[in-house]
Amino acid sequence: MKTRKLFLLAFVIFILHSTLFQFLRIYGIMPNISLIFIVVFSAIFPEKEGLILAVMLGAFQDIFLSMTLGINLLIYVPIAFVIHALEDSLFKDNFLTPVAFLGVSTIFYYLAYFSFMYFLDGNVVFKPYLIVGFKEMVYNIAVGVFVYSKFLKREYGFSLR
Amino acid sequence: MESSRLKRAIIIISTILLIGIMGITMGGRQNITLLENVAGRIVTPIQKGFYAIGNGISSKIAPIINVWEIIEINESLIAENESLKEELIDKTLTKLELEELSNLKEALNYTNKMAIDNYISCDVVAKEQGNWFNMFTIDAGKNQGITKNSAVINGSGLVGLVYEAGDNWAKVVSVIDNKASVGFQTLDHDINYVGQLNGSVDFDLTGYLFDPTADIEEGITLITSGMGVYPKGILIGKIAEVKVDKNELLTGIVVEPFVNFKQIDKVMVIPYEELN
Repeated sequence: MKTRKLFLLAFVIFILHSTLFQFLRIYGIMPNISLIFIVVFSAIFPEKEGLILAVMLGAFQDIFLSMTLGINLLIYVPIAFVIHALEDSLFKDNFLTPVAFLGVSTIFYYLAYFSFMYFLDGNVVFKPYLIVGFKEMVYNIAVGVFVYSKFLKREYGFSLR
Repeated sequence: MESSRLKRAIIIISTILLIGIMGITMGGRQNITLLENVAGRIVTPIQKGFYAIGNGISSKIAPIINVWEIIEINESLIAENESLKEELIDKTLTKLELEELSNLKEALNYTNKMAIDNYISCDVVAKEQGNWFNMFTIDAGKNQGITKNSAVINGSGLVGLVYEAGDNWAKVVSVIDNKASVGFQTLDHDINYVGQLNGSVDFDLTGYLFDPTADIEEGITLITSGMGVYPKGILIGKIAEVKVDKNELLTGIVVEPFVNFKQIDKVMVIPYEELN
């Protein structure tokens, strides 16, 4: 995918994530659409699409809706990097692939975010934070698997098994 | 070999740089960079449009989802209305007294700013994408007189504080996420107890009263006392729990804010004035 197209996509995802999708909250929990797209793009596309998306979405989120600059960027990029490195040896049509990646990356996001905020702010408590993290993980997997299957079909013509 | 080493060096340097930036920008800055400002100018109007669309849709759907609760809500509102009417009569009388007093104050040349009348109304244009912090952006900024540390309120009470301000957009962080402490005093209580609150987890505020012998119970309303960055007289919330610890000198309290932080669409900003 061309970089220009990716930039536009990142922009659209950011705008929708911060506005329209806010109304998708169930009991105050909303899925992390940005993370879902980063994971899906890193796992499906062979080029560096996922990484570019991670940099752009991280930067957008940091500039507009974050306590500090760089925190989301520094979490999204390693996630995209690791999944991208594994991309070659994946069973892309296996149902467990997106489930595992989305689950692990949500938990990684929460742990990394917590440790950064702990050292920067100190005003965070682990247990309630992790409970929110698990709820979001379930929601992320539900939405993410759907997005993954759509892109898999579009790119390769397979469906998930 | 050479290029992989270069790549590794770039990754390490940029990581260290980003961590440095994180440390510097934590806590909000007085002035944001030109790049952020320009980006905000482009993005904010687009977000505003989408947010309005979402609001429109959800205001149509919400009554359908909550159809079973509507009768209950209606009944409770009728009851509330009755009690408010009674209260209004009381308050009208005290208002007349207050007017007399403020006339007297003017006559005596007593300079003290009482009412907050210079607030700026604005819309929420985007909300934090995660589930942890309650951060949002608004469609007004430095051009409208909003600076860092301006207090943000809505119809229910104190919402938060301006974290960073651009030319025509600003980031707001809610009072429960902020480390900045809120000075409070008790309302509708014989003695005006004062104290200090801090944001915590679990959507409430925790703090303590300065008076160690304070006799206080749950359900008392608190307002800002004017100590700290918030101006005086903004509703904060109700005391949900009083914690008396024999080992500590101060009486601890847990406060439940009046504002529903999950449903904030319109806010008012009171520009921050440095006390001199």
